[in-house]
Amino acid sequence: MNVVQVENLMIGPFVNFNIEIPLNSFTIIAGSNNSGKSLLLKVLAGLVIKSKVIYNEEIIKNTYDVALLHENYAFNFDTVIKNIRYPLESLEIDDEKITKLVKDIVKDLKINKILDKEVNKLTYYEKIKVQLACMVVSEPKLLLLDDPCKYLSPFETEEFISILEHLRSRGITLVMATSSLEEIVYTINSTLYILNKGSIVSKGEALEVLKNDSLINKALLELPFVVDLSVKLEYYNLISKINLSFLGLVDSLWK
Amino acid sequence: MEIKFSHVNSTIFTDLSFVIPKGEIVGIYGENGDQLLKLIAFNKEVKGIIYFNKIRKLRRNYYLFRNDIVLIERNFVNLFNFDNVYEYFISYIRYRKINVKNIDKKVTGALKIVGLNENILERKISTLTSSEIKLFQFALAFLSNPKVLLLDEPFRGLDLNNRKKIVRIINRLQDKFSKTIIIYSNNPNYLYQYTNYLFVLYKNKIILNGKTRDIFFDHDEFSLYKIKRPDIVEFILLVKDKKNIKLPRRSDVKDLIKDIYWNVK
Repeated sequence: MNVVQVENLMIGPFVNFNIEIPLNSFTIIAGSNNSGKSLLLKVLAGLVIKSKVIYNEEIIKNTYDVALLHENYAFNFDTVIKNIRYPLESLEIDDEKITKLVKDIVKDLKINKILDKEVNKLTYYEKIKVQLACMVVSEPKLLLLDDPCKYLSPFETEEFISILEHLRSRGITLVMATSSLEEIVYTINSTLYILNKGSIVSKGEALEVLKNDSLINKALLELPFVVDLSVKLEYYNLISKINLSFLGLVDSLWK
Repeated sequence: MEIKFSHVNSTIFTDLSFVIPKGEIVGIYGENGDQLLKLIAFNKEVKGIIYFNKIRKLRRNYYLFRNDIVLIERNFVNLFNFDNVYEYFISYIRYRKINVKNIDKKVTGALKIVGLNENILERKISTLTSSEIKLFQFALAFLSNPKVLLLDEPFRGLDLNNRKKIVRIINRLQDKFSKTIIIYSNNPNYLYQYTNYLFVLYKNKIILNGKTRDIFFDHDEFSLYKIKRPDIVEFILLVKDKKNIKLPRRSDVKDLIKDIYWNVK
């Protein structure tokens, strides 16, 4: 069952472009600059051409069931807790229920220590998490993320992806655009699309797609170090299968 | 331009002293490194003794260094309410009080350095893609011909071609014009590849400084304070630790694979 599908998209770099997002999947769209990642997310969010986007009406009933986390997100209020509560308050939910929902989300996103802080005193990573919390409290069915890990350090990226996986287990369908492939190592069972100048050059299970390193390089992307190393070692018959942990690699090289 | 900070205090840092060597590509790594970058760019209020080229910086001689130091922010912020690229260039020149005789020539020259097409001048800033915005920021910075270039996460969100383009620009600036370039990134892989001098920050103190390669390989502070090393360094050190095999200190995966091949065969 699909949450959303796009048919015959003709805008910007896209010519006769089709994409389907299945329910409760984690779709990653990777591509070089100017390949149309951000534009595709805007299309999926229904911001650009509404007629070409078909939502599943059983799942997406309201406009706020689709959420887009983009780079230039601005906060309305000064403290963190006020910002997170705001989307629910405007939905006219009673106060006790809001407190419960917010408590739940805050625990999941590990931001319970910064709730009373002012928004402009947060670090970049905390800001991203608060933005995500504001998006997720109203329980959207489809969450679109435009390169959220762009400025995150490797540790932060790992934690952020695990948070996203947790949200997925709560029934949210995720679509993430990214300009680097570093995040993919931390995901579980995700679908990867490689975009190049508005067309899909490769799609499938993330690791399977990454194995084709010449295609990835042609799309001007860079493989994560572990994947790059093990793909090349496998090519030279030094190891028998791809291994994503350093320790496993070392052990299978020098027995 | 040599930059020397001694006993400098700000809202975040206390008693900070360091010397940034002249004409090198310097990396800053660690928590609040972007705040240190803003400190060097005078974007923050500081108290202490600061020397630029052995001239002490005072409030009244700020104009001496005004156009010598340029910070390229990670996100582009539209300072003036102009959406047209050409208008933005002109208002930027006026805002920074840059002395220019022929504005058009200067602007096209700056665009040529970064390799942007001239028809970008007629476009709107809101329609530029993220890579074009990054190159546009570089072009703006080159208008004042700075001696020190501060870059906040310059490689993020760029594909291989665009990153190579920026690396080529940076290397040429350092090589030919001996400019000082300071890069902050929280991804150690970029710093290992592109910088040759490194400062490591921990809890708002500079704990390590020196040649990038030596710093990442020779110091235990990384595992002690749980700071991440570059992937390739981590791998080479793990091989040495577990199997007692000393691989050469490489920065490219292809070289590393050759070493492994000879070692395993």
